[in-house]
Amino acid sequence: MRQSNKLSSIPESYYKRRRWAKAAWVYSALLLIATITLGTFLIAFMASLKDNALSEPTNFNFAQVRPSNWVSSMQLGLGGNQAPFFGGFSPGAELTFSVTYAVTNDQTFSIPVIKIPRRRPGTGMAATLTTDFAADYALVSEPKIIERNDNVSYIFKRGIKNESKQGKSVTWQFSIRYLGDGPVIDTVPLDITTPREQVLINSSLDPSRFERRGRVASWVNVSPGVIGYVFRSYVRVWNESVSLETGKSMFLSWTYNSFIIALAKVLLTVFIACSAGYALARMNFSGVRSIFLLMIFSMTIPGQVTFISNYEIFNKLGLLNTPWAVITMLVASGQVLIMKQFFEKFPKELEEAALVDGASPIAILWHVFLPLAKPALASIIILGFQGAWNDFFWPMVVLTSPADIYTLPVGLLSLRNAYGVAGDWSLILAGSFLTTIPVLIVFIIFQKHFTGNNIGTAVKG
Amino acid sequence: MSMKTLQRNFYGWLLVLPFVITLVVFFVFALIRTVKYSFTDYDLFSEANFVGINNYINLLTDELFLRATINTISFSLVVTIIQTMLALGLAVLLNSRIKAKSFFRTAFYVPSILSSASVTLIFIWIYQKNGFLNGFISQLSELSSYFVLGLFSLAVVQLVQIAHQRFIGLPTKFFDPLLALISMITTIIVIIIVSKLGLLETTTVKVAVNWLGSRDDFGPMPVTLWAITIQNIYTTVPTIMLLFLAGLQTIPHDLYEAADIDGANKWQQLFHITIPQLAPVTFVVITLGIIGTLQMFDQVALLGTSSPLESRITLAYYVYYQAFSDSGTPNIGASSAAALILGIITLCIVFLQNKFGVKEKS
Amino acid sequence: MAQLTLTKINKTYGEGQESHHIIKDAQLSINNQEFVVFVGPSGCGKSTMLRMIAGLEDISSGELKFDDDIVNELSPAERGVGMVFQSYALYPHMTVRENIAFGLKYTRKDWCKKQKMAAVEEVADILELTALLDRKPSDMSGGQRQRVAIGRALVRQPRVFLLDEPLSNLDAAMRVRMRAKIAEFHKKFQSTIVYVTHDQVEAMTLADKVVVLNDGNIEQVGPPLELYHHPKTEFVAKFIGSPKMNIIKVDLLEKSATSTRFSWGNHSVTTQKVLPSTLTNGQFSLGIRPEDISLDSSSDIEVMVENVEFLGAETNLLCRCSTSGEEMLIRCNGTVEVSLGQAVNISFPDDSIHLFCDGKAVSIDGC
Repeated sequence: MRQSNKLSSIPESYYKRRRWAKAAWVYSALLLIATITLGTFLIAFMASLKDNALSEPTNFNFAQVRPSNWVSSMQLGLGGNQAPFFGGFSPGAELTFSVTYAVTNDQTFSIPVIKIPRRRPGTGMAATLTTDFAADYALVSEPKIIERNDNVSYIFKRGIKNESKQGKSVTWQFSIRYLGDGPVIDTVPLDITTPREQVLINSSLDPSRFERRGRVASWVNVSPGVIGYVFRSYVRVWNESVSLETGKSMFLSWTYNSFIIALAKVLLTVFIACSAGYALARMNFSGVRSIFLLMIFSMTIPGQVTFISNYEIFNKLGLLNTPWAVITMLVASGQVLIMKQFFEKFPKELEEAALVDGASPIAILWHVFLPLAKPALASIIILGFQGAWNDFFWPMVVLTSPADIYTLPVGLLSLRNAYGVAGDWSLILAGSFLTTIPVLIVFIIFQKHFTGNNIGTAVKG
Repeated sequence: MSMKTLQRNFYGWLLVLPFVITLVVFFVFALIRTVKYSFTDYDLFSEANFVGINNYINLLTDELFLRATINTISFSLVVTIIQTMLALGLAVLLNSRIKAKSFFRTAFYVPSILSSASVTLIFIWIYQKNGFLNGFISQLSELSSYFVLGLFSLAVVQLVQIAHQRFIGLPTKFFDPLLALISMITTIIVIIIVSKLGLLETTTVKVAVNWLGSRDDFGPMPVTLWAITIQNIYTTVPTIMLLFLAGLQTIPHDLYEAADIDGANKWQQLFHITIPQLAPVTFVVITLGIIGTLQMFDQVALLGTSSPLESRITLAYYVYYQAFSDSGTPNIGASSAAALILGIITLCIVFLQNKFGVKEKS
Repeated sequence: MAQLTLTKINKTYGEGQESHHIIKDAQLSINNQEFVVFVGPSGCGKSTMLRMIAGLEDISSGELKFDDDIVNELSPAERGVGMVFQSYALYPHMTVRENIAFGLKYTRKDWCKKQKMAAVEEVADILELTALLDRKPSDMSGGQRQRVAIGRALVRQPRVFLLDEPLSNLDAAMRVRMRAKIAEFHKKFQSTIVYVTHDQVEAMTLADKVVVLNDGNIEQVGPPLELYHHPKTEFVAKFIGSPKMNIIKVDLLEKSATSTRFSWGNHSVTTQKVLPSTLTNGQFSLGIRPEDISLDSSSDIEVMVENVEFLGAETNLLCRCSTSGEEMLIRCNGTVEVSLGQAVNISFPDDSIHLFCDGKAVSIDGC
């Protein structure tokens, strides 16, 4: 590269800047990708908090995010049930609520009509079980004007257009009291009706929706507590997926089932993988080759090829619709391969020393190889737990009824079938996020093992 | 046989027995039975009668089956290729000398650790007619005039800079990173000024692409499956990326230094050193990728009624559908025949890949 | 070919408290077509210096020039260097031919395909690699691989040819052969060569100019024999020459305009070497090479023999001074009749004495 003349005329700063710019592009690319991977979940999580996940999908300044609502929901929860977190409505409770309406200067105010409707909370199965309604026990007081403002600007929604208006506003305050004695009620719905020109511009708690072209402001629950308000979808997933027979939360059962099955499967897998992997790697017995070939063959054949026969086996054994059908249906070829590859790397001297000491192969496995196998075991346990937790096809085939025998993924499917058609996506999204929490915890704890080195070396060749 | 051999055999078989039992019962035996059923008209309840190759013939004339086969093979090829390349790109990016490497690695890996059913549902929500994706695209379309302005200004500023640099004698390339950065920043400022002054119109647009529910095809696959492709890649790329990262660590550093001295730039080094050296990992990744994608089932089931059956059917789901669909009695014969065909296709593609594609040693 | 100039070159790793100052204010000039060897113990920074010249390491501060061009920010290819790595770094999946031809694609874009092929063939011929051109590196021995590495660097006719401990992975016989070949190349191609090694024999035999490095500092630069006869520091004195020079600590007794007298244990040593008038105190030491010491019964300097090595052509006597306790190595020609524990008397000619003060050689101009 004989460029001496040209080279000396190029200032050093040119090259320095070139290097900085290259670094800038690399970091930009990294940030962009991180935004895509993390952003998706953030968006979905935010949407799961919304009342209606399908309205205004790109708007992230919704009711549940605003701190003013957090404070109000806490106060209302306190007032309703001495429960700032989950709210409720109990005997002796008094909820204080205020609403502010605006009209243009040439219009007059009408007193809002306040009503506690006798409405079922939500649309799920829990709704059918509700027997107590706030409407039966609540008494709404007359609204009193507590504030006036003669100069306000506000927005009036006409169709999808927003019109700016100038006018005056009035704030009414009223209370909801629990009359007499009775059960503790979860939700206190509220409907407030006003003429169309009278616009709601502020309230203690943002309304859940507007009905009848803006005339009726509707609240799903005015005594929610802060958790009940912000994480309403999550509370609903928990409460509404209830078994019709036992009345217990099915989500809890599903989580429990998934856990038990995953744990049991991991234990079984570790046992099989270690013993078989060791035998195939270190013990030269007749038939090793055929077993190995069969094992590789089994890894290429999809589960759909064998599921009918296996289904029938469990049917005959009467184990359908029990966790055992999922736990024991296990052909751990992948894990055996990983352990086999790992054990093959050990030097022969290790075994020979133990043999000279008089140990049997099982003792050698237990005392010599296993303690040294921690990284490979970590990989198997993590991959195994993840795989069992996320397993979908086989549990769906063998766990069909009753609904509380499902594992979480199958349960999610049933949730989706139940609510997806109605478009109640906040609930489905909430369910999805709840499902991922255990795996997230496992990941955070075992993070350093996810370097891929273990999985990588295990999978090589 | 000597005592030692006998003892070795005994212990060997003892240790391997649990595995072999599961292998024989749940795999070999099941496979044999499936083969048997594929030649019968079994329906889980009554006796199985031998029907010869009727099931296979019926399959070949079943529209749904043919559709499922084409869908499955296309899906497998498309997803495997895209996910391998993307994962490799990400791994190379992550492997360069950057700070906060573990933060980025964790951030990139998040999609893989979440349960696949959850991710599928999240994506179904995103893909809804009034879901996030359409909303996002609507917002972007409303700003389309700004995009045009942006591109125009980028090109102009860049060209001006290059011309200036060339004029004073520096051999700057067209895509010089520093100048591009300056162009980008200038463009952003221009856009902000124009938007504040309100010079450009923005229209209200509502995009409502039917990602999931349409019956249209895009190339070899239905639109729905393309949507699933994106979601699938989203979840699998991080895990594959980790495998590639581990492989990258094994490449000796001085190979790259020698290439630096030989004058190869980063892209040339990628092609001539990184990719050949990663051949063993790539082989595993592609093989496992093919096997995995040919079995795609979960997403089809979770989509459910969001999309017509023809738009989302894969062979794996077809097998299940024939056996356990809500309508009608189980057609185990057809299910088994289809399952066997799926197995054979898998073996064929893996074999072909091994012969003609990426090998273990480049 | 090029002339290299290093001006106040520094290299620091790490930041703040953890920073390591690896190369300290290096100043060096390498002339066109010179064969320069960087030599020093492990960790002295010689490889780092080489890599900075190559462009594989950043220069923290200072200026590096090839002829008149400042090359600090240039990439290795832009500088026009060729390098042979200690591990050879051959591309494992390419044949020998492809390995050698690889760099031509990017640095000799102006050559046509025929020219490139011809260059590869020529280099292969010189290095006796023609029969191996279609083999892969994994199929070759260490010596063969090393030749391929040299070929790869040579074929591009670089301005500067850099070698990083190229012979350390070879066995002794191979090393001697390759050493001769490298010297041959230098004569034939007249390239500027910078060579790094920890073996001072290689330095002495190959170099036009030797640069001795110690802990990031350049101790001395000069032709091999100059370093041998006139080491500027104790370190250089002990590093160059095998077996090592004996360094004995002495105290100044008296000095005059014609001679200086030192005390060494119970003995006194007088030398014609004169200290500069300004130099009156410091930690003095005398350096004497083992081959310059002879057994002399007339001398009054007595040492105790602790170990004897009979090598046939020479005899090494490992002795200890009875009064000061210091060790001393004496090399005698032929076979000497000495036994363990025996006391022998030694003497050494006056001009074989190297005088050091505070680690640095004493010259008339000062310490």
